[in-house]
Amino acid sequence: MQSIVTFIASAEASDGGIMGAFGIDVPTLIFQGVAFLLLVVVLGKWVFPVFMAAVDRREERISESLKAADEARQAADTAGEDVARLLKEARNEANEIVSTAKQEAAVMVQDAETKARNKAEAIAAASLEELNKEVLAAKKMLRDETLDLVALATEKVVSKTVSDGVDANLIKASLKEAGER
Amino acid sequence: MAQRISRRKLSEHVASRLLNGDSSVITQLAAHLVETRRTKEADLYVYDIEATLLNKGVVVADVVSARHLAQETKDAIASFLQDSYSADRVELRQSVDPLLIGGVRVGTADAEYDASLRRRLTKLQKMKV
Repeated sequence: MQSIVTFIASAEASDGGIMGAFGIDVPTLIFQGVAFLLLVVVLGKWVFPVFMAAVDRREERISESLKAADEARQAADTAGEDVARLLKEARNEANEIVSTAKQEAAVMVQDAETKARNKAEAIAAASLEELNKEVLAAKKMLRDETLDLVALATEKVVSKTVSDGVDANLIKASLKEAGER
Repeated sequence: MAQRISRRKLSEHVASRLLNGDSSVITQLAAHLVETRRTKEADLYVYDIEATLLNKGVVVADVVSARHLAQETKDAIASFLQDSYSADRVELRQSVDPLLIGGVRVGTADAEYDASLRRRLTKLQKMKV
């Protein structure tokens, strides 16, 4: 390699022409061209593939990430919709439960009122019946005591007022009544 | 020991003798009851004798009054019994019980008629409910 470079350098100093007027050294140019081509080959065979593979991998990772992000966004959107739907369903269910609970509570209150009213009426009726019984018992007792008093008073009065004549008339009247029967 | 005679037959015998005017039969009956230790049946004998007399047209009645009855009243009672039983004769056994207050209670062998004031007062008291 070093001998080639030395050769080109010596040929350059000996020949001129148009290329020499523009300052272009043909051997050097050729050498640089070959070097460039060599570089291109080396880069194309060993560097660019690796580099491009890395770039491709990076691009692929980026696209995958973008895809995953899109999917995640879509999933989030879907999840958000699901959440909203579930919330709506839960809200509706809660409203139904509250409504049902209110209805049941109203029914329970009404039942309790009816039971309380019936019980109160039953108590009142029982009390009235008990009162009537007590009144009847009191009336009976009063009647019985009155009869006893009347009998006792009558006995005392009659014992004092019945004379022999009255007794005789009483007996005759009784006999007459018995005979007519 | 005296032979046991049935109460019915003995009562009929006593009633017959009484109707014939033999009042000593009562004493004999009493002695018989004592001898045969049947004094507890005395009331039954009296009842049977009176029943027998009733069948034969003689009414024997217990008359209980609150005070002694005048003859007129006794006659009225006897007349009542005679009409009621179509009897030939009426014999009254009178007694006094002031508890009757007034009126009379007449009892025969088969019935009792209570026209006393005591009964009326008792009836009044029984009106209790």
